[in-house]
Amino acid sequence: MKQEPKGFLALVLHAHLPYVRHPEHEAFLEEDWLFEAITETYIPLIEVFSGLVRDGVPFRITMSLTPPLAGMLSDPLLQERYVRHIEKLIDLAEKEIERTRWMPEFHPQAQRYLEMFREARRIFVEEYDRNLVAAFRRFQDLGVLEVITCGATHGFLPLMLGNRNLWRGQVATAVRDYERHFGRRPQGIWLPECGYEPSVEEVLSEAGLRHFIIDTHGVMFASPRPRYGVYAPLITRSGVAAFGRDLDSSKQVWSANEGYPGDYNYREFYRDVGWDLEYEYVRPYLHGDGQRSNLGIKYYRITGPGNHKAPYSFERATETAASHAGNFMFNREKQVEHLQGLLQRQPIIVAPYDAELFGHWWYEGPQFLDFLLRKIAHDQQTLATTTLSEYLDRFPVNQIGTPTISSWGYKGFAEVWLDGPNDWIYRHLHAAGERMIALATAAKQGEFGSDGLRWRALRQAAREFLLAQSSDWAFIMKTGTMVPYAVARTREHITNFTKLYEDIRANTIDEWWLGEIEHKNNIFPEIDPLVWAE
Amino acid sequence: MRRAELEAKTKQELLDLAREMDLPGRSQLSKDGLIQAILRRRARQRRPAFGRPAATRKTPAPSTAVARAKKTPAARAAGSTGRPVADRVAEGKKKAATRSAGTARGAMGARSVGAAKKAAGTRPAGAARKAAAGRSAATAKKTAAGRTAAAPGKAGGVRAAASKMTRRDRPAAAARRKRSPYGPSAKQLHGGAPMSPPSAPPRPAPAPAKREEAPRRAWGAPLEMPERYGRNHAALMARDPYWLFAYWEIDPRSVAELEARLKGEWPDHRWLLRVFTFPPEIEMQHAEEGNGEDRYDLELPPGAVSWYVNAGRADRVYRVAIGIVTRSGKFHALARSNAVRTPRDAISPITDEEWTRAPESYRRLYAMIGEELSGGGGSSAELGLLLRERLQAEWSSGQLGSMGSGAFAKPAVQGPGFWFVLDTELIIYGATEPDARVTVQGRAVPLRPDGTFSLRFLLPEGTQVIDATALSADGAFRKTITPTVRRETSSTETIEEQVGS
Repeated sequence: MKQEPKGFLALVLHAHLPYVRHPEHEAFLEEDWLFEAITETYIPLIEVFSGLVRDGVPFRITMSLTPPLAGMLSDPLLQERYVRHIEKLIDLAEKEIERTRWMPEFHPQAQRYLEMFREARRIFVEEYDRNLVAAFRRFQDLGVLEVITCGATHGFLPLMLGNRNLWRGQVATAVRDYERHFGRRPQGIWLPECGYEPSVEEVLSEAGLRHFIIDTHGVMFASPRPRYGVYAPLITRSGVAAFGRDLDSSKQVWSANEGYPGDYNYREFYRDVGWDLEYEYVRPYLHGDGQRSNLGIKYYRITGPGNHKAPYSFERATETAASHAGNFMFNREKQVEHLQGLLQRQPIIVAPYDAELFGHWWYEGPQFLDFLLRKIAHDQQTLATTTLSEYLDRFPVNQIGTPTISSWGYKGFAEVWLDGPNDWIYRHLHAAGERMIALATAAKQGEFGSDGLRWRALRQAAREFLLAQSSDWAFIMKTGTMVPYAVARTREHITNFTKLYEDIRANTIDEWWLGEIEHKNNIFPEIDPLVWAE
Repeated sequence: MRRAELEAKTKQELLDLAREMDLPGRSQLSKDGLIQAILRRRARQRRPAFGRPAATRKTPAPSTAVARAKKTPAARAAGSTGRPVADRVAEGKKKAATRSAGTARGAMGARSVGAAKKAAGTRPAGAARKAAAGRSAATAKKTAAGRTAAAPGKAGGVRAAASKMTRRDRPAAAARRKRSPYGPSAKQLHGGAPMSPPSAPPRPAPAPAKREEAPRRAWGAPLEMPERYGRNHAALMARDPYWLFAYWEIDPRSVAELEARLKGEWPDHRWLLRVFTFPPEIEMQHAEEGNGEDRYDLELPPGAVSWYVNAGRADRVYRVAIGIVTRSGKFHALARSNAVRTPRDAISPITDEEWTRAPESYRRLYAMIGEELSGGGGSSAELGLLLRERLQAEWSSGQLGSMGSGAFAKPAVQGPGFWFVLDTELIIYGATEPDARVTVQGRAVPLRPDGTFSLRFLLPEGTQVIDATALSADGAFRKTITPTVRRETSSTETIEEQVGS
């Protein structure tokens, strides 16, 4: 019989991609973000969870699946395109097996890629009938995974001028969409970019949410002073619990200098056959314009800080992942023991990460998780994994307090999303926000009667507005890669919204054009514009 | 027919349908493109003759004016001859599109073009591709700007540039804002992303992809993002505990009115940003009304539409007003912002009785988060400072969170310094009877229907003996050819005399 653990570890994976879907093009470069994440992160995670369930390993994990991501995963067009994408990769991997036949340092790797891609295709097509949301739903229904929601389009809440209607638009739309995918209401929410501002919790409470996650300083600088630091949730005045991120566990994984993913035995992200191989050979797998890009087959390990890269060894990387998992667990055990003595209660260590770190960036990340969860289940008795809701069920009595404005972005506040390259967007987002509220309020007051066309336009206006609010665009503008795309998306949605607003006002709706943008920007089929109403 | 019904069909069925409808360019379309084209054709056929034609929407851009000129007669003709409107409209659009080639408004305009361009029977390459090429070029591999600049959370150049811009007293920053007050214009976008940071790597010459001429938005009215909203308005946001960002819009008419009203006082007027400060305990709605405990003014350069304000104090409430001060010193506010609170940057001085801890255990707990606290009094100020330092060290050390979608847009780049790589591959190819069996190094090789085959090998150092055998289908003939290939690579590295220094 296992003894009562001294504390809990809550691993939280935040899975998100912006809504990128371009039916108007045969293929579209940015859609690859989704396809890469499916092959490299979502399917490997599903494989890890499946294996643990199959082997009867007890584990708990919390994962956000943002509405845009869930929308893309369940979209037939993108599903079809993913199958096309993975089949091309399978074709390339088959050629790679031939090409590397005389190179024992690459040949087994090529075989492994072929297996990996074929397995990805099998899981995607056969096991889950092309809809990976069903996989996460399955693990939630099995009780090992808690899927939480997020802002409808990952809008950064602290830059919405404290407007509750705008917050409600993000939160209520997300909760509704979650029910469509998961057949139940979410209990928790990943605040986009962990962006929190006091009063947000009121809107969360209205939506029936029980908990959210913020960065360390959001809790540490809370008022009154939190008795347990980040090692217990803080209950906000609306009754919604705020969990704070643990810095140490974050740092071990995230840190560019000390983090596990930088180990020299791990796979080098930047050496990809899409860049490395002879052009005519890879050309059929590149996009139409023939620009080189990552294709997902990588043969080298990080090796060291210089340009020289040695061939990757799967066995060595696996050993390293196992030892890192052991190290991570050991540190958490020590941490829990120390904290339990100090706090006189069982602490919770909340360790949130971007899901795409595991597998996409850190190729061995899913393996690390697998080792970690197995080791925690079998090799020690100090700590147990938990989900955030499960912890709250177990420890309902917590201190009341108000966290401070914070985010998990660089420098901890809003600088990433509000700076020279992206500050111009807010005058448009805020103006559109006011207009959205005005339209919704008018609709609620019956101004549009039962005019189906105006309601349709209003629903599309809500979609365009939400898409413009995605924090991803500001983030991309700030980081400086793919900037024109982010600018174009912002402009596109603001422009569409503005025309819809004017047309609805003037009752001159262009049905054909509306049909076009409904088809193109088809997120949230069940959107309710009245959630923005006063 | 509804979209869903069309979507249920196979691509071949859709192609058949498109052939019946005589849709131009159908063989080039994706399944989705076919569906769109069919729906569009049907929508047009359903459209009543007196319906507002798409081309009469307001404010057409020059290119669409051409489209309209072509379209209107087509629309008229449709009523009399019964010829499908879509064809002619599409022709008109195609022509219009071609004329305006190269003026695509960034990717957005270009992408919206896709659908109609398909209808016009050409592949939707064009501007979107161009934009994509620009993007990819900017992210291209192996440039001297180096990997660090692009690595997650390490955008050093970007950050440095950005923080420079936040100094309110920097003329360059003011000038920058003045230059693009409402974000990059269409023209700027086309001209090559003015928003890209200075650290963006130089573009290596990409493989020249053949690009078709890029049309402007070819369907619907030309849409432009509004630059202004025609009102007096100001908004204030907190960027971090110490910096605020204000933006505003002043309707020129209200400035004119003010000028008329002030008459003689008007000369020598200056634009001011007035900052009101409120104590931390104030309720926000009260701050929206009052004028606060303190205020100060910042002079604005003409034409400024936004400003970063170094407010300097965490957990304070601020509000700003934008207006004009005349030579008499009187301030005429033209827009007042919302109130905003800066984030707290320290441990709260407030403790609650029910959950109070002894100072010592606080100290030890916070020490776990806030680094070693050896000695020291453990006052809340010290604790807060230590915690803040630790957090700041983490943030600055690079990636601690929020990778975001940027994770998927990272370029592959070599480290600093000059570099040169080379590798060799060997192609072996041949032909035989289509029904023969071929083995190379003992392994069966699939033949193409015409009996030819190709193999491609990464060639290692040393000697490869490649025995290839063909066996006739009846097993009567066997022929073996055995090339031997040797790779021997040497390399040297020298540093030449410095050139030009």
